[in-house]
Amino acid sequence: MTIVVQINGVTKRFGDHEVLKDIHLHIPEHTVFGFVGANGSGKTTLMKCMLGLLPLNAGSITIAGESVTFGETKSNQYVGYLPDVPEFYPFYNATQYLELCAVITNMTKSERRGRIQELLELVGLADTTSFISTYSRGMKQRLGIAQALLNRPKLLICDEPTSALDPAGRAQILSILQQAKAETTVFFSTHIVSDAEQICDHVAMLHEGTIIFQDELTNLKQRITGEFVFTFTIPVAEARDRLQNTPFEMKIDSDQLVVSLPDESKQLAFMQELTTQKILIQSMQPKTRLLEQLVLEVLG
Amino acid sequence: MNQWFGFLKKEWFESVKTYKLLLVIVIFSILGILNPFTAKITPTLFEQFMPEGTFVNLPEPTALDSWLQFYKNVPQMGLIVFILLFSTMMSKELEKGTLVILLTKGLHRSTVITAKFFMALCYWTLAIALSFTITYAYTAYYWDQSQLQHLLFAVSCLYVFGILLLAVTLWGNTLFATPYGGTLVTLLVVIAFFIAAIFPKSASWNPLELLTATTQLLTGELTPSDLWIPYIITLFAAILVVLLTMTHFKRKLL
Repeated sequence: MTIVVQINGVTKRFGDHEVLKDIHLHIPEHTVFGFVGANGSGKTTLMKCMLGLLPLNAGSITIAGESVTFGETKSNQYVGYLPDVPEFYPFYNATQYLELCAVITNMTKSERRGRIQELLELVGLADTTSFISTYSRGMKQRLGIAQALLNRPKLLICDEPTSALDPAGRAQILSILQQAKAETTVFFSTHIVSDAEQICDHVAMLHEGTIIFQDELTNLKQRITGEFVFTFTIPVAEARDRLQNTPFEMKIDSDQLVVSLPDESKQLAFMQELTTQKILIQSMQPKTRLLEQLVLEVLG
Repeated sequence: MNQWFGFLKKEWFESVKTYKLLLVIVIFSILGILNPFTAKITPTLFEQFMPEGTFVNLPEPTALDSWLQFYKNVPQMGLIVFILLFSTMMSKELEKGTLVILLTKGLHRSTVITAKFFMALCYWTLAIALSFTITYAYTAYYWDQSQLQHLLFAVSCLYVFGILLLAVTLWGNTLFATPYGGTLVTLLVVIAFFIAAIFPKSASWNPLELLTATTQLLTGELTPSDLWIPYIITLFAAILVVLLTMTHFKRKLL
């Protein structure tokens, strides 16, 4: 798997306040990488460092093999960026603004028109001709994504793209980000854990300037839990009654029996018990946890 | 169209949409008309407002009076309004964050500064040209201007001084990133020029000399060769300030 972003030992201080402490992060290509953390945890600072908008105190960042430097950095040619509150020129409409962006990115005239139309359709602004000054927050976010994808970046950085949107707006943005994964790598920060859970392949959590965990979402969900969800050919209450005198911790949850089986020996013992009791299994699966639970557990 | 012209086009579009073009045309046209008009009606006004029976022997107004009005009104009213109009060139973008997206798309920071300065320069050129042409045409209609010396050089002195103040405004505005930053820095620089002007020796280099010596230029008491040092210093200082602004902006945290 190709790594598109390599962040090695990044430290960032504002005066005496250390906002990022020895951050290491590797983002694989063509994934949606969720960057979770509370407000003020340092997510925006790291993103600005990745864009060369802030200088680093220590460490290095590489994007698509190009080192990020403070100021005008060559690595930005591979990046599309959507700030948390994207601000556009209010006297332009969406097409005019994207044309300006296309000129800035040195896109050829022949390529420009088709790409702009394609992106406006992707974000649902193709039929909007009004000035940006009349746009809602959601429309601005969608235009923000369109401009970020304009030059087919290898990395799309989105800072809290859903934080101030209503549920419908959030769903739209998440859907667009998921579609964008086909042609780019999406790195987006959020403090809404359920958003990350909906579309991310990988998740990292930043807490007080430190990465607390980073892994594939599926691994994270299964980590630590050790709980399995069973359904049987008999009613779940009856199964629980028949297993009452066994040493296993269990509870009924939505007509399913949730049993705590943290290791293989317990799992085998439970299977034997079911055989002994002649209880037939209809389904069995590891219990996944909501990412939010995991975050709360980590934060204690 | 390359980046620089693309951004310049945006600057132009913005200035039209925010009525800068309209304001500059209206204000400097009015000033252009006002100069000969004030010179023409001043004696009549005096006669009207003096107590009855008072005899005032005012000389007939001449072309010089009209141009004296020009060099009073354009730097005092015109230039101040102009600086105020362009005093938020950078701060508005820095405060709102509209530049961040474009800069991360590869827009050169030097392009931002040079395009903004060039657009302000175009407007200043328009303002001076408009005001000068109208004043010239009206003055020529009423009076004979053949006695006036170095008319074009005198107006170029005002033009060059304006360029320096524009550069200083842009620098202050970029440095402090607030609407008042640019105006305040410009005000302080002008005050510094005035303080320097207390010392007679400063006349050989002080950019303020370009404003104060215009009457003597028109009457022929001074020639362009007397002013070439402050002229060159002012132009050189304007270029230096623009370069300084670019350096500051390149290191600015966004």
